[in-house]
Amino acid sequence: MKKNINLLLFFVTTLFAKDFTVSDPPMLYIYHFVSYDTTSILLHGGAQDESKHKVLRFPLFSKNDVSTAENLVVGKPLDPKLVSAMVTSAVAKNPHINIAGESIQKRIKTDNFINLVKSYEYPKRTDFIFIGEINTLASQYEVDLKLIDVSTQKIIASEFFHLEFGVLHNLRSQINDIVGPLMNKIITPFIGSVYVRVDSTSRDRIRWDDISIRPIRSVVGSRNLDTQHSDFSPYQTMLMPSNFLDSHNDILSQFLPSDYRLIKSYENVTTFLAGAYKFQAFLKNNEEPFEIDFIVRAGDLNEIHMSLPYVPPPKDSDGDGIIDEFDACPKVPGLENKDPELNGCPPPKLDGDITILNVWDGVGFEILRINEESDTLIAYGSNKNNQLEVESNPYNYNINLANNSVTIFDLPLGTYLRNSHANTEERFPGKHYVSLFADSDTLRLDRNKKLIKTVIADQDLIKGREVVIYFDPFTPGVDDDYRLFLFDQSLFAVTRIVGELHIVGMPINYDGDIIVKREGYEEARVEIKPNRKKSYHLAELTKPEE
Amino acid sequence: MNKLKQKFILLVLLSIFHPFGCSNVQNLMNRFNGKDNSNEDYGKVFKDEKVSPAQIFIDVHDLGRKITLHSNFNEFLGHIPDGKWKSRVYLARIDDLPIGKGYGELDKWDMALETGFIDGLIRKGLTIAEKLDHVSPRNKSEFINTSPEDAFYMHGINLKDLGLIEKEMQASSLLTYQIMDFSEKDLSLVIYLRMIDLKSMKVLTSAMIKVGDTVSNRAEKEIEGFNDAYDIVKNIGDLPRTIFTKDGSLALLNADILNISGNYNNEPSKETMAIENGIVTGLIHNEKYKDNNPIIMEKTEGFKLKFPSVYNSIVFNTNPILYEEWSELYKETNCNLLMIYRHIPDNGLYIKIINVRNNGRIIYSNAFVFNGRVDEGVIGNHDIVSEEFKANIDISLLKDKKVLIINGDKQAVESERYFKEQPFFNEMNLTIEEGMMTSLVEQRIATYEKLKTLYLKRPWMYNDKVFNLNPLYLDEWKQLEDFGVEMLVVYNNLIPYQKLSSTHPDYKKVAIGVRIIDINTGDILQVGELTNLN
Repeated sequence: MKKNINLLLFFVTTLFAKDFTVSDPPMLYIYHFVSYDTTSILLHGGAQDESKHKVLRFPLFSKNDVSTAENLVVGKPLDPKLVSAMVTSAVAKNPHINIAGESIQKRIKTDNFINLVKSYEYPKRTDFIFIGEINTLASQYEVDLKLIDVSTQKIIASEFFHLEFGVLHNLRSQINDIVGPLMNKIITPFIGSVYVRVDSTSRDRIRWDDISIRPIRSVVGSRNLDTQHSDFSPYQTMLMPSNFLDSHNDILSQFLPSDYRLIKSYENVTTFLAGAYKFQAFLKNNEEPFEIDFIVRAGDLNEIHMSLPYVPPPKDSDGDGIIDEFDACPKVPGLENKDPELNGCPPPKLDGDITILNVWDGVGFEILRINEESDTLIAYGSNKNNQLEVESNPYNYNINLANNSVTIFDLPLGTYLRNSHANTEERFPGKHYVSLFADSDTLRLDRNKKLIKTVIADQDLIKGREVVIYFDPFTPGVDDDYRLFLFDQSLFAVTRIVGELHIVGMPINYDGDIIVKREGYEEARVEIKPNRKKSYHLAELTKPEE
Repeated sequence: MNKLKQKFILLVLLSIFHPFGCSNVQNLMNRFNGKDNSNEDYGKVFKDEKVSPAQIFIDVHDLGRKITLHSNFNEFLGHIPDGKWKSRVYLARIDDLPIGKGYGELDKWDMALETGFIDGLIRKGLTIAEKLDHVSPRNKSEFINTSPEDAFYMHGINLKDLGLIEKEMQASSLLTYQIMDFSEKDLSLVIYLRMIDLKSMKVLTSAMIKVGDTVSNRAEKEIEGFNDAYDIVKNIGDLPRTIFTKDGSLALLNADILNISGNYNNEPSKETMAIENGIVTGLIHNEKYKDNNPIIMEKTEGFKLKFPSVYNSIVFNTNPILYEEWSELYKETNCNLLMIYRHIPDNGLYIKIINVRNNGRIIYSNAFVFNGRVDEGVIGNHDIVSEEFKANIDISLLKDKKVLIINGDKQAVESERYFKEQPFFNEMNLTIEEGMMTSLVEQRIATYEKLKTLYLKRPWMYNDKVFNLNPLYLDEWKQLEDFGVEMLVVYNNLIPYQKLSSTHPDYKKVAIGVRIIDINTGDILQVGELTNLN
């Protein structure tokens, strides 16, 4: 049997020059089935034999088709229509073969099959004819199947099988076993497999099991027509079988394994008849389906490259993650905001600038940020010999050309205090002198006012007495400073490397404390009473802060 | 007869006791008539005899009068300038008021004593003003625990009341007395008297007087202190004559060790007052005082002392007076001469006189051992240093120059340690510098007292600098011209006296390195060594 099939295959491949394609598929006409015996006479035990068991059963016979007489039972043979239907079904299992038609003859007049083929009409496009005979031999049917190539009018395959009367239920499976391989032999030279390959444009957009395929053209009846959209058939995909991975390694290894899958039908058929097809893939997110024509070449693992048109990502000019379409400030990086007018805009500017004007020679200043718990020194500076020096790390600053003004940039919004004081002058090592001068200004940087200008008052020489404050201890380190405030917290002196400070111009009626602060230590309060004389005081700064 | 005698005495007593008021007189009468149940004082045993209170009263009165009969009182009177004899005198007992203490418990014996004393004064020809309620002790908050502190031994009578004494009571002199010891039982008394001219607030005369048969031991220290100081000062023969001119206005300042720690080694007490009284009296009794030009000031106000903590930063042995300039002291006190003394128990007395009007030039410096005793080494080392300086330092380098003495110690290498140890320096550390001072003054070198703060380098200032820097925190030498000086005598004491007991053999040793530095050029003119180690 196997040997015969191989022979058949040989013939098919060598003798048939015609290539079958999806638009010109093999057309098979089932021209059958004839039965040489129209009746079967079965003898039993005669009239005297009343045993019903003596009667051979014709299970496939209709009761109406059986008549009995004495010692004789006459019944219709195996119905050729039934066999023909089974053959047709078996042929139809192969999706690549078209059935041109079928014709049932109860009896053939001649044994010459060729003549038989010639004698019957069948569609012109018929490529193959199946013809079968049913004979009764002993207690079994003998079924012969012959496949005839119309173009050569030769029998290219002949198969048969026996079927015991009692096992007619095996008829379909026996037909399938014969017909299926025969059909495969016909179309095998003309089929190929197809895989879908995605790339970066489609990788995340394909729905692998929502694809459809239709041939470009198809045979309908005797006509070859273009197919319609409605002709799409659904397909699925599956991981590439290992045999292809081996046989097409050079091709497939170029791609990520997750980027390709083999197409299969819902009936798990993974082959296509050679020819032109149209591929359609539904995409995620309701994108327009992807369609492409593709050619199946027989014997090949054909590729459908699913390369979607490049859709540039939504434009985000400022790279803040909010696309320009929704970015109220597309050119300035910003943050999300529920307010469309602020979405994508930088947070409202939470900093501002402070300009200190009239920093005259001999004055010092400091900018303190006022906090609830404690004030923070933000910047300080002084003008000595018409040279303005400023320290405002980490904030940038700019000194004007005239050296009498400085702007400190990008200070967080908030409330600030600008203190100004006369510079202390070291007239003798360890002895500093300061002309009493204090000028303060409270500054509020807010959204509505992000640049504040504050003007240091001119120094009016105050006529007053001299107050000497000795410090205990002498400032210990080179960077340690003592800060002196009037009773109203106005800073009037910042002094370093000092044992005593001479305050010149103390109003004679000043009645209050001078507060001396040393970082990390309790402040000293020096009581100053109204007096016309020079007075001497001590600021004890030795008790560490708790 | 006895009864009659007793009634006579009673009448005398009534005349004396009228300040008590009638009730007191009545009480006295009642007591005398034996009607008073309270007889606690009556019949006390005095000198092993049972003596009546009246008799005691009379005896105490007599004791007071005897003050004026003492020979010292005659000398006391002898120093009252001629023009002051006829002026009214206001008598005020001050006791410990100058050191901020009250009178303590006074009783009738104190009254009897003062009455007797007044009796004696009158008998001597003085006119004594009767006291009403014009005058009160001075509020001690004016001069005790002040900030900055006032110097020791300030005047104890309300300064405003002094004007009343002068104007309302027409008394131009104030005669104060301090009872150093008084016993009505023993009828003994030690009293210090000081007469002050209320107009100039200068001490006209001064004396300590002991009367009575015995003097209890209670005032032994005070008497000894007075006498020790008195004996020394009275006998100083080389005090500059110039200080005793009528324009002289000399204030005494007990320096103690103020210029080390800002605090007294010997806390103000009766004894320390007695020492100053001894000096005052000794000065007045000094032979060069014979012209009776009153020069010694009664300190009232303005003698302010440096804050103690300031000494932790400044050059050693800076004068304890607070001010920046001597002129400020003069302006505040009218004092043109400042006599600084240091009484060193078991050693002696150091005296230095400063011309306030001449930028603090030291016009006298010397140290004296207490009469008849041997010192523990302080005075001895003073003298050794003085002699050594004279012998080893080329004085010609300093001629006609204004000189300042600076203790360099070992700050260049042990600055941090110096600042830790300096507060524990003692009189020996002071005396070696004063020995140099004495030598310079004796050789008529214009040496100046350090007054204004002159800071030392802080330890970190020596970092990354060349070795052996001058210890003064200066940018340039010329800055010292502010101090009015031209030459520096910088010395390095090599013996840690502050760590030695007075019995330690090294305590009496001297080992000092000296550099003479020209401030104008910064040149080291001479390096010398003062030592008795050999």
